[in-house]
Amino acid sequence: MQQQARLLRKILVGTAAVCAALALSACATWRDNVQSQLGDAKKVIDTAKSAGAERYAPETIKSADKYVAQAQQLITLGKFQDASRSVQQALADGQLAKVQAESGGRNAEIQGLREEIASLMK
Amino acid sequence: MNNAILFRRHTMMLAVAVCAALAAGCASNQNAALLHADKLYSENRADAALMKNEKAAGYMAAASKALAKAKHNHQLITSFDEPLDPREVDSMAYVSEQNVLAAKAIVSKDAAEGELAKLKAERDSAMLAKQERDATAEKKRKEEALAAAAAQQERDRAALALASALESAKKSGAEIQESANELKITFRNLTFDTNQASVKPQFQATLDQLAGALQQRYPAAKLEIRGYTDSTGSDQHNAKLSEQRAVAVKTFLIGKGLSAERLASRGLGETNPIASNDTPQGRALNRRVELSVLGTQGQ
Repeated sequence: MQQQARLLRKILVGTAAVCAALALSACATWRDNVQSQLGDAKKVIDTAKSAGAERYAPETIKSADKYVAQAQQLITLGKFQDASRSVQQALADGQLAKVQAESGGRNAEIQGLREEIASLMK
Repeated sequence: MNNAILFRRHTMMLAVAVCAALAAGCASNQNAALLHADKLYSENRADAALMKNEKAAGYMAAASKALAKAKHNHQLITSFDEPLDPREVDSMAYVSEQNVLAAKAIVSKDAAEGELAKLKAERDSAMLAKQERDATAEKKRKEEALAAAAAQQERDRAALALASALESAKKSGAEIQESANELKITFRNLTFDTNQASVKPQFQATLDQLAGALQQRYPAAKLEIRGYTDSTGSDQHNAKLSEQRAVAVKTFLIGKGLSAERLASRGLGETNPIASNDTPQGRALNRRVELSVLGTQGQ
């Protein structure tokens, strides 16, 4: 009887250990994925900033930065699903800011060219 | 019987109340972010400009995917089957909206790039036109500078020639007076014999040199020639003789190429004597011709 109880305890402890290991492993994978996505989003945001987003798309790039900060905080708290949502929003903002910056840059060039042409025609 | 009718009525009222409650429940389950994203996507999905542009179409596809996910999540939440976080709907709706906006921004950017290319070509041709204008202006400026230098050289040469002619005239006994706007040459020794009105041959060379120099230095100035006599003879005779003397000089100058229109001659007789008429020397000096170049300033 005691032997059976000992065996049962071993089985339970073993199962718990396996479950804990699996949970830890899943958690690590999730964290890695979110961090990788966050890295991608940051790269897009940096590209947008290089294209002049802070000048031509200030609201959008501010929002992107806000979501990046939010995602980083959520990762620290282990809230990976929430962090993933913030990362996706940051990425969408970053992509939009990049295009808006490029468009704004072209429009500024257009304005500059129009002024240059007017000056050349004088 | 009455109980049966009453039961049916109550049943119908209950059914209506249940339907109303369900409808109200559905309405309250609407997600504002999702509705907004759905509206934005629907308004733009048929936009040919977005769909023709490869990159914009890519953003629209991403928007569609995010919107579908948002709707799916919303459905899971409202069906009570899944205890899903409502933010899963909001974030996907947000992603969908940002992608639609990015698609629109791509089209605007491409249009701006087209405009930019057109303006660059316009700028290049304007620049070329300006270079041509500048080159023409520079050429004209150089030509004008050369012409001005040549004119200045000509004036300097003329001034030199006039100075030389005046020096010769002085040597012949002429008096030179220069004021602000007049050059006056008094030929005291351009002596005429009594009752004669022709220029003596010995003074012709001096007058000849002077005529050439005046023509060069003051090509447009008016010249006034005044003839005088001594007091010998009547006033009428002297007036006529002095006139003839002035005309003789005028004719001589015309013969040397000066325009008659620039020359005026007057005979002033024995007026304004410059020496005493009591001596032969004085009378000889009074028989004179004065030549005034008028309007010399600025020439």
